[in-house]
Amino acid sequence: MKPKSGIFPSLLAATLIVAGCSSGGGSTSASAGEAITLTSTTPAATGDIDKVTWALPSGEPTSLDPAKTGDYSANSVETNLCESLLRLQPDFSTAPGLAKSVTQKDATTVVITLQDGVTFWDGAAMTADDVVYSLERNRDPKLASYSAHVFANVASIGKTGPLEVTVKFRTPDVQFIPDLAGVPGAIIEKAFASKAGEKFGTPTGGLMCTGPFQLGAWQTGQKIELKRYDGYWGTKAKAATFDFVFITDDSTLTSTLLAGEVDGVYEAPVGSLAALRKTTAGKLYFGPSTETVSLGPVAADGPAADARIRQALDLAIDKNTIITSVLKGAGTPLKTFTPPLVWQGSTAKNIYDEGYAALPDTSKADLDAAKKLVAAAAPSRTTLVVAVPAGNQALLQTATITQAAAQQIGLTVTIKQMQPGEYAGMFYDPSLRAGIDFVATTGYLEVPGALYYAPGFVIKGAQFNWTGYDDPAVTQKVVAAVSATDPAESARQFVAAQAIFGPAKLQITLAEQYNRLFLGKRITGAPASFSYISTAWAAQVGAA
Amino acid sequence: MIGFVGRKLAGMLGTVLVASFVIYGALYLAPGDPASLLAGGHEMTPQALAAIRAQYHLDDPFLVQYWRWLSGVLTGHLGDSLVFREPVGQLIGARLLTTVVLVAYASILILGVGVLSGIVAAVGGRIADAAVTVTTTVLMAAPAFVAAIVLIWIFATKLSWFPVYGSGTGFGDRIHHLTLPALALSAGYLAYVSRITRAEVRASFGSEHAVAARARGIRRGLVLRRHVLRNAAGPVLAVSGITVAGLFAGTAIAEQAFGVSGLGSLLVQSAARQDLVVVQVLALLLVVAFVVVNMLVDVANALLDPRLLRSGEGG
Repeated sequence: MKPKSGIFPSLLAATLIVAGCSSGGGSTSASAGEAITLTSTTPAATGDIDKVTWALPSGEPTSLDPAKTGDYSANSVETNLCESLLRLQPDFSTAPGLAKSVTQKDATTVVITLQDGVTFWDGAAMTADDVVYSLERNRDPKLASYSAHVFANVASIGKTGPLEVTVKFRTPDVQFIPDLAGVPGAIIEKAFASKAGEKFGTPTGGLMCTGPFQLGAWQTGQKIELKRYDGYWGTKAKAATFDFVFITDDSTLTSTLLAGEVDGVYEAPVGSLAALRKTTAGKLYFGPSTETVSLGPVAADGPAADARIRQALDLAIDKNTIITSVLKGAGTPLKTFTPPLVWQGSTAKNIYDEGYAALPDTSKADLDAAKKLVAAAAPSRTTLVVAVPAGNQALLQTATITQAAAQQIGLTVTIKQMQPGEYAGMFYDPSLRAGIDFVATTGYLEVPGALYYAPGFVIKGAQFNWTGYDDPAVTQKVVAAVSATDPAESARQFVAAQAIFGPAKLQITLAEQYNRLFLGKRITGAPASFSYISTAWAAQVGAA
Repeated sequence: MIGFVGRKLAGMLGTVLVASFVIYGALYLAPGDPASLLAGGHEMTPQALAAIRAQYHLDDPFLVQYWRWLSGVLTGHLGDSLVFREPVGQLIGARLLTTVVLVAYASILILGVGVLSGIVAAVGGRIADAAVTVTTTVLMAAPAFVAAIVLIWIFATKLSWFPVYGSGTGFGDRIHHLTLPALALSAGYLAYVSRITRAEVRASFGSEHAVAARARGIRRGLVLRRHVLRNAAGPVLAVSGITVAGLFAGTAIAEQAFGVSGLGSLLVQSAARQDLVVVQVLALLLVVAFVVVNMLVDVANALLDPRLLRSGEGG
């Protein structure tokens, strides 16, 4: 069993929408002003549109190669170009994509049956060879694919028919199929990619995929232009041209949206939510999400390694303060690091939901209980260091709130701002974690499945289990959950494990942040759910 | 003159060489491992990290890395961006023109408006002086990013005369897009140059030769052109030169605020992502731009005042 917990943006993940907003049914939560209504979708487009200009607030993608796609900007663009074997739906269920079906034949065999009649942008038909190549390259250590961990339990990937691919596993891994709804399941053209080599996915190397848009001009620093692919096998894109521009300054971005120079944006800046809600230039939507804000313990010794200290800190921090001041009301408390949205599409949803509901609710501060825990733990030192990435105001604010809360229970927190290289390095290099007790992070999950995070955090020796947490009962249940081909059995095992590791606060999950979508008045159709992160969402955007 | 230029050139090369070492060394010492940034926080095996380190020669000794980099830069091989995996030359090439136009635009504003308003303030009477002084005080006090917010609010959001963001394509469109950034970028410097000009022209007007010329009955306009401005030109040019040379660094703020894709915003973004290869080249480029503009100013000054050419005084 190997650790599997992806993306450090997602390291922090977890939260859940208290009022059950995950399915997008329109639940509301009180915020610092008006109530926020959650929705998973926006009104469908009424027709085609000539051109849409979309902003990427996280800046220019560094690559569009699916193997190098794993952040807001790259995902927002790449998922419209290179389709995956499965399609992620707004409720985080999956539907057939480039695969007509993906079947768990037995515990160690997955069979992928491909759609017929799919063509790449150059007209070549998609074959099982392309699929084998696309999946297999993630296992190449030289490529250092961001998705490599998804394939860690895979023994072989082979063509077993003209339109059939079979994946064999060394160790059962039922999280593999849902992972295929994200970039790990993206398909690229073998001939093109082998020829482009290292340049594949860069402005010079280009891309060759099957998606509803094809890559037009990529003018580095200026924009990435997508052109509708007229030979697309599914529902064709509504927009003839879809331009992505890179606007990282919050106030400039807000001005361009208000002036109508840019038609829309995901991850609308938190500081501008009030202005965007008021304007007549368009509409701001809030959707369910898997994005979370957390404090992660990083030390195998010292106070952070003691569950009682983590629980005390969790109880000392009022989650609504975080939501009101850091997220400006656009969020909700979470009980554990796996956000409920990830299982909303599962057939075993009820089992997961019940397990979640049974977890203790620590969203309100309880200083008395927290102080008792500190007294019982009697830590050898009462000073803690919390690391934040330099320049990230939201996390700095989170750390500052943590500092104030900790002081009330007799713990002194020092905030350490780290340079980007140091901060990223912490996730790989234990020496960079020396002298740090907690790290403030934000993260998200881009695929469904409750088992994406847990193994990486709770199993001894896993990549993100830095406190040395080791509970044989948890390990046994998580391994059973990952191996169970029956979804209900897998859910029961997971829930039983979560009942033990959840209260241990292996991550102090502070809040789930809602997805924030702004659509100018010309356009509509984009999903408001965070599912956009793995969906060809731009194809649905058309005239309002 | 040739000797003068030669000395200047040698000094310039020395400056750039020292700067290149300082820049490379400073970034080499920056905390953190660039390879882990390339891994992007994703689960990564130690072998994969080692492969990245080998590919970018991150494990070589400092001097070896510095020499490889320096010789690469000298032969036009600027290296590949750690983040974008694109040649740095390509990243810079795509943005160079925008930044050069922006700097030229701002320079014209600084030199034209700054010097003219300074002269007007000095000789135009009490009301003109007061108006220019008040305006320049406000401009000097407003940092570029504040000016940017005000300009966007008035001219882009409210009046819709100019676009909020972007660099434009083609000459006219580019000028249209870069007007607000150039205004934001030049405001503070413009005020500074205006003040210097005013002070220099005043001082020059009061100097003996100007007073004598006017006493001889020469017209005020002629005295201004022949005696006052010529004498005031040296200091004004020196200050303006340093200001313009420094503009390249100033573009970072204006470009970020207006979403202009130029070298300044590339520098900011690369620094934020610790894309050392790009930051090193850009920082060196800024130094080169600074010393080249500085040298041109020195030469221009020498032409204005040939005394500077005499040996030893050329510094």
